[in-house]
Amino acid sequence: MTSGSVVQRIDLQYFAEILVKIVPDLPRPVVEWLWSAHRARCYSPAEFLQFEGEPSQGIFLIVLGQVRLSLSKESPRAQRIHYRDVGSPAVLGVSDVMSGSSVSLTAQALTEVQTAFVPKHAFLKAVQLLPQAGLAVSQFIAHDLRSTYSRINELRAQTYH
Amino acid sequence: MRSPYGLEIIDNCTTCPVREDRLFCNLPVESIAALQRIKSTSTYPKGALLFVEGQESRGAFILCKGKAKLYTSSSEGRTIILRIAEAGEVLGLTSTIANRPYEATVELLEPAQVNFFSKTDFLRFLAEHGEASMHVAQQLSLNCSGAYEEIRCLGLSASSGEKLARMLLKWAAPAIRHGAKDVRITLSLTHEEIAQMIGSSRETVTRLFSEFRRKQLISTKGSTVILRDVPALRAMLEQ
Repeated sequence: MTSGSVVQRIDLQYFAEILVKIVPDLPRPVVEWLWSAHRARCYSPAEFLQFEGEPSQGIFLIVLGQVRLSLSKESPRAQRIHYRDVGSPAVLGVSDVMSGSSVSLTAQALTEVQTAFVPKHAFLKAVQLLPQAGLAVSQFIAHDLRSTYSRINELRAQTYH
Repeated sequence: MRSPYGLEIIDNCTTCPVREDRLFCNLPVESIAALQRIKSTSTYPKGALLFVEGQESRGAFILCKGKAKLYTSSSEGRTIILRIAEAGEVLGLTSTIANRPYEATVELLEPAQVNFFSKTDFLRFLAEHGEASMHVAQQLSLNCSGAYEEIRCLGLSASSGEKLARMLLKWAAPAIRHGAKDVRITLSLTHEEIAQMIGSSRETVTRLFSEFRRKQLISTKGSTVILRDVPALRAMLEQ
């Protein structure tokens, strides 16, 4: 993971407003826990937030700006596929942290990007604070997964031969 | 207890001998007891549909025994097999959790035991049992990893041959990991169904199997495929 430049922490109310837009049923104590653990970071255009294949370090709440997500195949061709672009509000890295796998998608800033980064251990602890938190996170991942399945169906239709 | 399809039914989740081996079911005793109270057990024959793409989700299904294929239809009316689900998987999970229609049709490939949980009961159970909701989040996250891998395969595979080699290696992965001398897999899919998995035609799949045999990459005996040259199959992915 690249470090970005560390900036002033995000205000709790703003943090909460953005987070509940994406994970609506996250209980308030969990939101506050995540806020207390976050580190604010800024990225310039073209700077990388995370690289596919590296150990997952935590989650990024995209507070401001646009990020390009892509993935690649280990091969001499070193091809890269554009997965999608996401803009604030968005969260990256949740499924990698939950599954304990390495980073699935490379994330690169398309514009000036401001993020709130929550380290992996703090996120996992927060999710276990209340049973409703696990359900809220599951709902977020389920929605994300559905859009991934839609992307797969598009690709299958394009590559049928 | 035996069922009409020759299955040994496990009626009680709390005494299930394989519970601890399965991601979702490996829960504390009190959670499993609560799950036991809200589930209904059924057995189905091969070919039965558990749910249909676009149908309003009514709950989640644990595939206790058996295999199933998950498929969708493309806008051109082609059947596209998304994946093969194995025993222990929770089906309909994404739609139930997201409260959206089922995104695929699930058809059983062999007689199966299935435990069903209604959406209301299942969501209430998860809201009350934190460890279970963590297991659901982990299962969904693993499904995400699988979906990204699928995108890599679809978006970056050059040919049907490469896709077939990738699929055979994926199915054989456990045997390869265990260092088996003869890497054997039993196909539960027809050539038509394999074509639907790799986005190709039945004729192409049949031709590719012949080509793989001729190049001594594989040999076949009935529904058994023996991978004769795993390094050569791997090399096909790196071209």
